[in-house]
Amino acid sequence: MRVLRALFGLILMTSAAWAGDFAPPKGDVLLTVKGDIAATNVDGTLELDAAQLAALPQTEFTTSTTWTAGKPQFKGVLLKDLIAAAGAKGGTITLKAINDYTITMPLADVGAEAPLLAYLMDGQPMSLRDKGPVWMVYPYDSSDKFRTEEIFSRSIWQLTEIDFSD
Amino acid sequence: MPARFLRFAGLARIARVVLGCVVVMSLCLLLPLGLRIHDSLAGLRSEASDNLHWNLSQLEVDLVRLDEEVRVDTLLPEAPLKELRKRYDLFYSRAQNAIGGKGYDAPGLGELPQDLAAHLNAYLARETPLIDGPDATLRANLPTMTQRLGALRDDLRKISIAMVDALAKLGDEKRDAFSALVRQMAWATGTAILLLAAMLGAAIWLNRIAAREQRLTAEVSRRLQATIDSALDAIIVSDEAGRIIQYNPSAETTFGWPRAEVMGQELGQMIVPAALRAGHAAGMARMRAQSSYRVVNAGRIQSVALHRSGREFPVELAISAAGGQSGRIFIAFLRDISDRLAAEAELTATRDQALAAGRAKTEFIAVMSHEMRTPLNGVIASLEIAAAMAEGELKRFITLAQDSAQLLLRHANDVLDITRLERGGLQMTIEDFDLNAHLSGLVETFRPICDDKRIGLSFAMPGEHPILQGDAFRVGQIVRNFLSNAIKFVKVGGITVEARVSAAPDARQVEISVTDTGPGIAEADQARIFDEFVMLDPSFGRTGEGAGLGLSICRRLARAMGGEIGVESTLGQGSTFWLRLTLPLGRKPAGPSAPVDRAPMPAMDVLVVEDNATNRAVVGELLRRLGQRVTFAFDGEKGVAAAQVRHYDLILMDVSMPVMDGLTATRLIRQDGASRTSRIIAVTAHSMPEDLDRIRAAGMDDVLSKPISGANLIRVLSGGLEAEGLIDDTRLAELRTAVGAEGLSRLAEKFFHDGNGLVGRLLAEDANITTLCHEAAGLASVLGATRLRVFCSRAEEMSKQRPDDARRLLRRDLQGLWAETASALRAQMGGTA
Repeated sequence: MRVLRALFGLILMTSAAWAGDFAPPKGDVLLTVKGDIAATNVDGTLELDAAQLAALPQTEFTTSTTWTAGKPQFKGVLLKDLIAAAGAKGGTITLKAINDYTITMPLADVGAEAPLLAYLMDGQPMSLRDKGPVWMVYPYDSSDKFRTEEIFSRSIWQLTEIDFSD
Repeated sequence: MPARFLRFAGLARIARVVLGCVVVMSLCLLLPLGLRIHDSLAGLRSEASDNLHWNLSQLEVDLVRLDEEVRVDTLLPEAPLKELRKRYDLFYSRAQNAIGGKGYDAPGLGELPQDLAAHLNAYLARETPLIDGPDATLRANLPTMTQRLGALRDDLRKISIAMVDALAKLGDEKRDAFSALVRQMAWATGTAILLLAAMLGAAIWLNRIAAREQRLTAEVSRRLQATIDSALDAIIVSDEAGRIIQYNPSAETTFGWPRAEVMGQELGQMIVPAALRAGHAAGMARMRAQSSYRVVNAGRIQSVALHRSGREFPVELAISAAGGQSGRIFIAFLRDISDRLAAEAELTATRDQALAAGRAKTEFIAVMSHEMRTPLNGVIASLEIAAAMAEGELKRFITLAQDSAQLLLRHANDVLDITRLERGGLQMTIEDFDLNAHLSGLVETFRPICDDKRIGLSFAMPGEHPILQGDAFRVGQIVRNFLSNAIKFVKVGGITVEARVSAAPDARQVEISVTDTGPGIAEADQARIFDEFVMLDPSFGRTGEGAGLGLSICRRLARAMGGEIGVESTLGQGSTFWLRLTLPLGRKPAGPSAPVDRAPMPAMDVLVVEDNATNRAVVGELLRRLGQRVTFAFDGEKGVAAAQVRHYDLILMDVSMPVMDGLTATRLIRQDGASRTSRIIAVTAHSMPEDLDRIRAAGMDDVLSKPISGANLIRVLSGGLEAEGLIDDTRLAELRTAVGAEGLSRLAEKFFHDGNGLVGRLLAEDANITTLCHEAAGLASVLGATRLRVFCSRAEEMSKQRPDDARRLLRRDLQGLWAETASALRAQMGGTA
């Protein structure tokens, strides 16, 4: 916990550098971030297109999933990096998919290596049919802790909205 | 106690083993179960399959929403188809999960996932070109899409239901397996808990036993401590190095050291006197080195111990050793025996005083009997003279008076016998006698008194009537005593005296019994009656017949003769007293020996020195009757004077006389005068051994005991052995002058050596006694051992005619005479050295 707090301290410090640097999106909006955030670009929310996501710190890993065949490579932005970039605060994060699938998770559960907000699979943008445009994935193969029912249920695909309201 | 400890130790060992087994068993049981449960849990935790139900329902939901949109778009021809395409994409995405995802691929589902995938693939393959195609084509195909959607929905539903059923079944199996596992675990855990509980119980039980044993041990050691503390003896325990490790209160009292000051100190420094410390240290070192004990376990030992004050005191001690865990320990029990030794010393002193008093009494009694014998001497001697002169009726009365006098004399002698027996001074007179004649005569003397009491008296001696050698008078004395007692007790009936002899080598076994028909003697009293001063019937005391000494004297006499007396009696039927003796065979025919048969004595000049007129008259008359020329002197002084002027062959010297006693007179006569070498015979009533020594020391040659009888006189006159001096002083003096004191002592040593050898050879069974006696006589003459020389010469002469008699004589007298001679000679040598 102490490590996490220190981490958050770091996040808050760096977020100041990011806040306010987002311009309105030029392409299709892939992800909308709202709630208690420092950085906004459209009506108090932060809307991000593919180029903006690609401008954030990138992380990638390869893992098998319960829902796909083979071991795809996922690339995208770690949730913690997004939080840092948006200057988000609050206790709980609500994530919502296109098909209205919704999950909530405590901010504290956001780790240093996962979850990843992947928008590229095997280097390709993900269509709706491929659980795109954004799929929050974990490196399931790397550890037992990423193969629990909770993690599986948090692996939300066709993600469109992240809300830091609570 | 050790057995209990062993049993306990055994139990504890078994318990440890059992406990170990239980722990191992529990581990073996629980560990695999635990691992399996862990695996099952891990399986549950990392559930690889997504929730199938969720997936299926989501698939159906997406299908329904697509269907809904298709129907809406069919009814509204102007509606944009964007929403329709989005819903199709969502369904497509969902369907992809089912086609390639692991969520539908659970074991036990069989072909169902493939079946599902096939249906979905078939559907997507047909629809996707329409969706991705132009709007017009899509819109034209909407009604058929609805139909195909309905068909797909039915198929999906069927497959879903089949999958859910299979899954439910799988779930049940999994749950059952897991619950079985948990049940097993529960059983195993329960068993382990039970076993552990049992072991805990056993441990508690063993613990209790241990506690009890400990209590017991504590109690035993407490008791032991109490025993040691309350012991009357001092108890000191030391370790192997000799340091005190236990010290009881009695030890504090005994040695004066308080416990606190001696604990741990070296034992030897504390209680061993300085003089004994070296020995003590050596003993301890020896024990440490070789475990050999000299004092330890040796029972009670007396030693000396040291008190704190420096006082040394006698102790009695016993030491034992015991092995301990830290080496051996020594336990010493000590007792201060100062008081006991003092008491013993006092007791000894008291006993010595009592003995001295007893001796004084014996002296007194001896003197009294002598004093009685002196007047009796006169009576008996006078009667003897009168009897020789009298005739007829008068002679018969005189004979009676003689008998009574003899009896009176014997009573006095009885008392004297006791004193002599007590001091071991009784002399036996050994002579040949006819037992039959002796006993029949003796029995006859009791006939008048038996006739008076009207009781029978008989004597019988069946079988052989041998001539025996022994003290006939003492044998008769015993039989007389038996007879007197019998007569006292028998009221009706009679007394039988019986003698039997049986053969023994060179001797005869003699048994004389006196059987009466008296009241008998209770068994309890039978042994007692031979003790001094025991009279079963107090009334005898009043008859004045005796002092209860009779049987006691008899027993002493019998033993002195190497025999035994005893009694067999049945109460109410009578008693038999018996005497058993072994006597050598004699040769001489029985009968009154003697003077009568002798050849007349050669006439000698005899000087009688005697202050008592009666005795003078008696002795004078007896001597005259033996044909001797008699001269009288009235006291010692006159005797010396007479002996000076004229040589007498024989001088009879009374020992106790007024003016000058016999001993002084003898010394004076021996110094000078005509009778210097005459034989001088002491006449005395003092016949105690020390008197004889004094008499001989004064220079007298022999002793004549009062009362003087004719027989005694004849013996003296004929120069009986006793007449010869043991050692001829003159001869010794000459030798000493000739060879010097040293030469003489060498001669004497040779004499003792050769003499001892000769005596041994003479007493051998097959000795040539004639030659040996000659040799012995020669040896005796060298040093002037006169009496020995005369004895040997006589035996030599006798051996030529009667070798058997000579042998008997030698056996009887040689050793005694040799011992006497040797001791006299030693006294002479010692006295002059």
